[in-house]
Amino acid sequence: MGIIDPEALRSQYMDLEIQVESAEDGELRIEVDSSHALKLLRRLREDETMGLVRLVDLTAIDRGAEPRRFEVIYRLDTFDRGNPVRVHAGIDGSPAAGEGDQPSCEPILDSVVTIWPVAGWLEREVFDLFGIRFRGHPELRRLLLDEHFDGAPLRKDFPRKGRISEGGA
Amino acid sequence: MSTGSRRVTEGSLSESLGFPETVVEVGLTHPAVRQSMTAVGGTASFVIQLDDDRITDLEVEVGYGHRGFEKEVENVPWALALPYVSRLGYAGGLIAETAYCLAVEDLLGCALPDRAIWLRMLANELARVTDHFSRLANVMSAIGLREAEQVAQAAEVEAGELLARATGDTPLAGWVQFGGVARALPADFGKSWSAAQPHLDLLLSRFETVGVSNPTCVRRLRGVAQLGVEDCQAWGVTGPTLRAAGSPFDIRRDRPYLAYGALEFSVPVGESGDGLDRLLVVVEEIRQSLGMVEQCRRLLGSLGPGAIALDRREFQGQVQASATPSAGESGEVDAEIVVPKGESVSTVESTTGELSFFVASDGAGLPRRIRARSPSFFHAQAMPLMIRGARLDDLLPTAALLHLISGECDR
Repeated sequence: MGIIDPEALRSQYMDLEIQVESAEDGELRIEVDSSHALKLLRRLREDETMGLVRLVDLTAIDRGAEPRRFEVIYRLDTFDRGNPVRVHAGIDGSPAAGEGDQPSCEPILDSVVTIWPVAGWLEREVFDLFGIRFRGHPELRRLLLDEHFDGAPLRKDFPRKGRISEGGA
Repeated sequence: MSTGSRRVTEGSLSESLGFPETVVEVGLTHPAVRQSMTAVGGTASFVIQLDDDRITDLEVEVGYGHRGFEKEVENVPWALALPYVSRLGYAGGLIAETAYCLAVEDLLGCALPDRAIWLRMLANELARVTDHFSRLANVMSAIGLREAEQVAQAAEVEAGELLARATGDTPLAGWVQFGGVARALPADFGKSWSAAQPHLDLLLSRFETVGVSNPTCVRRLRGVAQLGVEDCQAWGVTGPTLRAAGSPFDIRRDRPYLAYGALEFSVPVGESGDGLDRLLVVVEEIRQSLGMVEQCRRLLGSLGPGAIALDRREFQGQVQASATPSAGESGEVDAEIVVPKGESVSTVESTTGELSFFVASDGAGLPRRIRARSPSFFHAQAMPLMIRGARLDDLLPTAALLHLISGECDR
């Protein structure tokens, strides 16, 4: 994508309440609420001034006790020169640290598979390791871990050592 | 009669022949039997739906080699994550080390000494030569060209020994470190290189004669498992596979890191994105990498003696002596690097494709998150797309050409 002006981006996507920061190496970091993430990503993908925006990587981070505990991170780039963009979608209403994973309060946000097919396995991996659900994913099941595994190992409250007992981590 | 892959036509071949369509499973294999038993290096399993010998669908099952890499490295100091990172590839592990160090060094805000930059590039390109030759050997093994396989294997061994000599007399010696590299080149490295370089050139030319231009090789790979540029882009396929499809995207040239901007090299591209184009791209990349090693060596010679790594105290005062071992652990008195709060991304061109690290630090001792974007993972996902309609025989050469590495894919 060409050289993007953070200010222009901010005004263009004002309705989605984004926050834009530019890192030293020219990478743009956009923060958005998970409820607006799909809209933002679709508009970035369809923005012709940006060139062909590709999804380089999709992962998540567990911030621990912060109010928005989980963020899903989308790394976007093009094949031209220019600055890559990193979108951090903070998920509201996540379970507080230590509360465990009650199915009712599992973090969830919209899948981007319809925009980028490559997200298929990437979202499955995040579901697998972080227990984050993706609305609209055609086949959201475990990928790296066994289908009978219980728990989300990349959550900070998942212990590094120990035995996994019957019916729970 | 048609050669190469053929799209499945209407009507079932099996049915007309009077037997049902079948499902076969290829794999798992233990990673250590790669080359001796199968061209597929590692623990991916392929569940294949067959109509006669045509592949109508493929499911790639991954994760059998999952080691919890990203969980483990969140629980060790930043520098101790390096041995885990190395195990993301065989010879290519050194390239992963480089990528990881670049990401962390970005947070530390340290500028590498010139010698360290050029040494890293030299070793990276030697690692690429080694890894590419191992890929060629696997491909030849998969299509049964034993002589070509042996030529590629001999070259892999020779380049691998050279790499080991350069970096500490053993593979994955922990050579790349924060702020530079662990050791300078041995004094007689120039001599070893001058002896090995013409031989590697020769082996590469021999490989072209007995492998690339062998009619069997051409017939087995031409038109097989094609993937066009658009599909590559949609499915995150990068590296030689993307370039074979005709896109000249190479991180070393388009997002230069270290000092790749100062090196002279060309980026080979294919046209049709089939197996043969992939093979040709890999062969040419070896030639380019050998040229880059030579350029790095010359430049290092002209730099003269100097530092090959930053002193730890130079990391902006970020080193704290952790001389107070926590209860229950016996005295670890090594100075620990405290990485300032922040996030950083580094991207390099690995042997398989676009390898990048996303790291996040809280400013405390342990990493908050270390994420490896491993090309093999993306390529495994895209395999069904390229293999549908091909013959069962085409599966192993295709997997070998993609160079699926389970350590990298499963993490």
